[in-house]
Formats: sequence, structure tokens, C-alpha cells
Amino acid sequence: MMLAVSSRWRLGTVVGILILAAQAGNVVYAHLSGSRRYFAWAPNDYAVVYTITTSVHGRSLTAAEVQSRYELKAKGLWEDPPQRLIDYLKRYETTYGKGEHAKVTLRYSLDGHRERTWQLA
Amino acid sequence: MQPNILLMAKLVALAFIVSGQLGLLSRHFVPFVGFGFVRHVGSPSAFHYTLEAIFLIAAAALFLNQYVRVASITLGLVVIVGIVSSMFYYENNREYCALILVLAGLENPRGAPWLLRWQIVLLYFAAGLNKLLLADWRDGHFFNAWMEYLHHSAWVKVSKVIPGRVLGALLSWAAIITEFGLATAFALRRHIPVVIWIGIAYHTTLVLVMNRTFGMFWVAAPASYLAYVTWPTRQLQVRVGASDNIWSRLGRAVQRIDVDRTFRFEPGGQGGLELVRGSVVHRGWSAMLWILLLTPLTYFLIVVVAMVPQPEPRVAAFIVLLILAAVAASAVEARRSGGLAIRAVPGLSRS
Repeated sequence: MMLAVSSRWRLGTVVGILILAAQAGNVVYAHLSGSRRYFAWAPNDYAVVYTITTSVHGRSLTAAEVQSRYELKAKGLWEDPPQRLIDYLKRYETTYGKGEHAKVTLRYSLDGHRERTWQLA
Repeated sequence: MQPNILLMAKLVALAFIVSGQLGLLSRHFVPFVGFGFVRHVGSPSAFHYTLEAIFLIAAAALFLNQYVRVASITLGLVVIVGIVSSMFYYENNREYCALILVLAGLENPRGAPWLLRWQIVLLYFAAGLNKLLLADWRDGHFFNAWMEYLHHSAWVKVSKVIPGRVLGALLSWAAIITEFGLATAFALRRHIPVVIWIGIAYHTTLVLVMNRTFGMFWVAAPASYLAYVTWPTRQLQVRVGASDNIWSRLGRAVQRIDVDRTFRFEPGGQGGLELVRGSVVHRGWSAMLWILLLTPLTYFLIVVVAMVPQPEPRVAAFIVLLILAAVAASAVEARRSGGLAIRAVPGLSRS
């Protein structure tokens, strides 16, 4: 009985240590692999002022339609790395929006630097 | 589950519910992985309500002290499923809540909560590291752009005296040093009461200045500090004086609502009310303060006041800062009146 109880707690501890080790490994990986910082404890460390414009079948969507499409305001402040915003838009358009041939333009400025443009056609 | 960890899990679950995070649980929209799979697990609404129902059942079990470890893990897994199923739902504060709830359930119920302690260290170390490695943090670009976009009134005024980039750099380095300092101090487990005080003050000051709670962070981070607190398992002695002053009256009122029998009330005591906490005797207002701080109900009330959706979270932040000021004054008073044996004190020891 004692052995069973002890093993059960050890399993919980091992799983917990694996969770912590995976996080620590991911923090290192996130800093070596680029600028996305997924699951790397970088909360609200970025000030990305952005504008999304999308056209579907040649028609430009209104700001409300953009918000409805992505559940994200067409203009606003994004507090994560800009690459994550790009990933999100790209993921939407290659899954839910697949076949609609949407043309997406993202204009953004990171931390007050010059504006950059990303496009998905 | 140890009482301090159980209290932490309950506070996080309560904050999740009262802040409206429950209603924000994922509706499987733009998942991280398994797009094809997620689309076949039911409609977004059905998925969302299922997560809500599981969360509420697990929270009920937690608050009724039934299967608390399973309940805590379930609560965390609900949030993790929400994150995996929606890139939009993913936020660091939700991830932290999920992880501390899961780790709370995985902790050895008879040992020190090492998993949670190292989670706290990892959070602050990684957060400090990310800031340190960003040039925009080191030179103040980030703060300057952030505050200018938000048209922060205090920033506008102060930046007329100190240039925005200089002010930004000062604030950036203050945050970096604080986060590395918290990571180091929590790892070394030195001066834990002071470190906890600084950590809560740090998060609360952010809420006060920015007038937002940063999702669940304001509750989740300080609640996780309970992993460093030894919750008293024996009744603490409270002496209520016979004199009819405000403290003795408050002492008698607390006696009536102390349903958990946390305190052992006895007649006597100088100044109307005394609390014996290890080698320290608190009197008057200080005794009342520590009676409240050693009562779980106090934390539930603070969480409700702090996290109920409101236009001005800074009001609750101001109240928390007042409580922190009272705690500091109480520690100074205890030190003056015979020394504060911090390590032996129930409620704030480092085990």
C-alpha cells in the first residue's frame, strides 16, 4: 500500500518536472529560433500598432467585417510579437478562409519604429 | 493537497469565474494544432459550453473540498484545451493559471510544493530574460511607444519633464531588475515575506498605473506565492480584552464569524485585542490585520473586489497597496517591540 502511494506521488512529481523542463527548454528554443516567443513567458512585452485590410473576391472588407472574420479589431494594439499576428492571420486564411482567395495586408509598427507591411495574396 | 495550495487553487478558480474568463473560454477558433480534428468535435458553442460545464463542476468539487487534486488538474486542463484549440484564446496569464492549477494537483500533498515554487522562478526569470534581450526594452523604445499609443495621462505629464525615451528606459530597467530579483530571491528562498510583499506590490503597481489587471495575472501570480507560505494548522491564540474599545468589539465580531475555528479566543490582552503568532504578539490594529490575513475569506473577498469587471481596477489596486502598507507598518512595529522571528511565524514561513 505504502509503495503504491509513494509511486503515485512520484509519477505526479515526474510529470510536474517534465512540464517545468519542457517550459525551460521552450524558453531557450524560443529565443534561438526566431521572434515568435510562443509559451516563452513574454507577456505584454511588445507594442505593435497595426492595421489589417482584407479583400475577398476583390471586395474590400469593412472594419466590422474584418473584426468578425478574425475576431480581432481591424486597427489596434497587439502586445505580442508581430510575427504571432502574422501567424494568426496566415493560419486563418489557410484553414477557415481557404478557397476564398483573400488578399490580406497587415501594416504594423513595432515599438514606435518605422511601419512595415506584410501581405498574403 | 496542503491548505496553502488548496487556497491558491480556489483563489485562481474564483478569479476565473468572477472576472468573466469563464465566458471567454475557447470556441475552437484557429487552433494551434489539429484543425481537422477540432472541426469535428462539435460546434464552437457546444465546445465552449462543454468546457464551461467541466470547469464549473471541477470548481464546485474544489470548493466543496472533494477530489481536490483531480479537480485542480481538471481546471488547468480545461484552460490548456482552450489554448490549444484557439490561437486567439492563448494569453500568457491564462497559460500561467492553467499550469499552476495542474502543478497544484501534481504536487506531493505531504511535501513542500517544489513544482509550484520552480514555476514561479521560471516565470520571472523568463519574463526578465525576454525583456533584457529586447533592445527596445533596454533603450526605452517599448515603454515610450506603449504609453504614447495609450495616451496615458501621467506619462504625458511626466514626459514633459523627463524625455520619453529616458523615462521609458528607467521603467524598463526597473521591471527587468524587479523580475530578475524576484526570480533569484524565490529560487534562493531568502527573506520570503519581503519578496512576497515586493512581488504583490509590483503586480499591484502595474494595475494601478495601467488601470488593467493584465487578464488573470494580478490574482494568479500573487496567489501562486502561497507555495512559499506555511498556512497555520494549529489554532492561533487571540486574546480579547474586557474593555469596550473598537478592537475588543471587532475581536468579538470575528469570534462570531470564525466558522473554521482558525483562532482560539481567550479573555485578556492589552489594547483590547492580541494575536499570538509564533514568537510575535500583535496588538490592536495589527492584531486585527493579521487575523484578517490569516482568514481565507479575506482573500476570497479581495479577489471578488479586484476581479469583478469594472471600469476602474485601479481603485481595488489602491486598496491592496493600503493593505501592503499596513503589513509593512505592522512588521516594523513587531520588530520594534521585540524582534520579528519571521522564519518561525505561521503564515509567512519558508518551509
